[in-house]
Amino acid sequence: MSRRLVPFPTRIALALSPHRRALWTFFAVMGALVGLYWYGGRVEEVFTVLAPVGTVVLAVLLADVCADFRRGHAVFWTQRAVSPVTFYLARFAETAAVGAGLAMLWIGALSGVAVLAGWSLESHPMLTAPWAVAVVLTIFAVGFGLSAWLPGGARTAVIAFGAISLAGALLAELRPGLEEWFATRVVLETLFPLADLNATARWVRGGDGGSPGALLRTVIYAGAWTALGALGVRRAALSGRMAGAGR
Amino acid sequence: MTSGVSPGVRADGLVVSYRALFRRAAVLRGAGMTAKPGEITAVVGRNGAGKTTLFLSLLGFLRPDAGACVVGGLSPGAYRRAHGAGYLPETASLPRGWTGRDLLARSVDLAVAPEEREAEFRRAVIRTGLDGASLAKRESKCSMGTRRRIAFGCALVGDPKLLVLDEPFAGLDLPACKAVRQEMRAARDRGATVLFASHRVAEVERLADCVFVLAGGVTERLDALDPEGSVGWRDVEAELERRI
Repeated sequence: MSRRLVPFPTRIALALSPHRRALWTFFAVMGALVGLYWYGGRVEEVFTVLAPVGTVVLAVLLADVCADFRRGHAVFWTQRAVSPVTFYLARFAETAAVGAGLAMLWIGALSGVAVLAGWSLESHPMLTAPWAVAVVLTIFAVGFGLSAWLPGGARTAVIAFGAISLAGALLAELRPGLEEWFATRVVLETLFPLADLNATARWVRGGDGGSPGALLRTVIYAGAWTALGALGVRRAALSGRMAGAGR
Repeated sequence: MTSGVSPGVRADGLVVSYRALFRRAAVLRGAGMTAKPGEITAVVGRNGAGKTTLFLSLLGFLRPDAGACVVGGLSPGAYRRAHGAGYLPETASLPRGWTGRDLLARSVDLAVAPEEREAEFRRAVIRTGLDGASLAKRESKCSMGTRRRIAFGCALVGDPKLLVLDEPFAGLDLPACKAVRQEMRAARDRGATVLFASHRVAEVERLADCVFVLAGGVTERLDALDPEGSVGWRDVEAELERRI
């Protein structure tokens, strides 16, 4: 018999298993907020606020791909005749696919609400499946990169990254005279490429303002974080962190 | 099943240190040891002596600052990636939300050829000594002993030729200890290289063909402590107390 004992759907369920409580909480809170906005007659804000915020929160909840270094669980997999880098890249791909699927489910549910409200989504690239998928995959790449290097609290690290990015943006805003190289080379190029993601979504939908260059820049950005994650896994494999003995 | 010839394990002059905030704390300061195929080798020492660090170095999970490890003629990491190894960690916490059955099945998927998976999974279940209900519990509902039995079952998946067990008897009841002893002897009898660390002198006495004492960051073979080589197994406890 050639089938795997743990087939892909079961691996997905197991990947989501540690996040069950967080996911239930997410959908309960978001459902309540949708109801409140609806009840308050501010339906448009369901889409302009909750759709992007919900997508980002959903991705951040699931993006700590290498969190199992922390408690030494990685030795269950890496004691086998497998390359740790290949194993964790495969896990990254699987969990990112799951995250993208959940984000599409989220956007689909909101689109259903939009249809019921008779509201047009045409002018909002952030409310479409391409945008949600691009954002989730990019956040997963960042999460993979961070969690491979920071075993203690990868999810916290992803949130901290967002806070640092925001602080950097505010700093650049408040101090326009700040060293140009810092503002352009460091902050803008390491910040989350939201403008490129929006342009990518527009380009995929065939709308105005999109360009294949934006897609390329997003792919390079996500690729750089993924490569950083692969390096982190390789480093963890030799430093004892994978076996819970970090140094 | 795991392929390859049973590996001899050799470590020479291992120096391993952990980085604290502003300093490095050396745990191993020139430790060395050998372990032969078809033998059970025990490593004993006080808490914090560096037994786990030594094992992680021998498995290639920890790169030493100095010294060398060779496993079956390869670096430990290269051996593990090529042939796999069985490793029971000292703190066998299981992945959150997983059941014992999930973990055994995933281990079998990773270690065994597709046509042998069903049979190997059944063997792995038997080796844990747990019933279906215990294996179907999520990890948060499992007792410490159950977790360790599942982790031990995972380490044995694929009959690895290198088996490294860190405190294999910790948290186990008497029947489980007996089962672990039987599995360790069975691994030795099929030619595997078996290493274990334990604070239970009685188990060391029963099982080990060779004992290394780890103290002060260096290892010493127990029979080398006496120039005449006259340290008998009855003297193990007294000798260990004196040494560590």
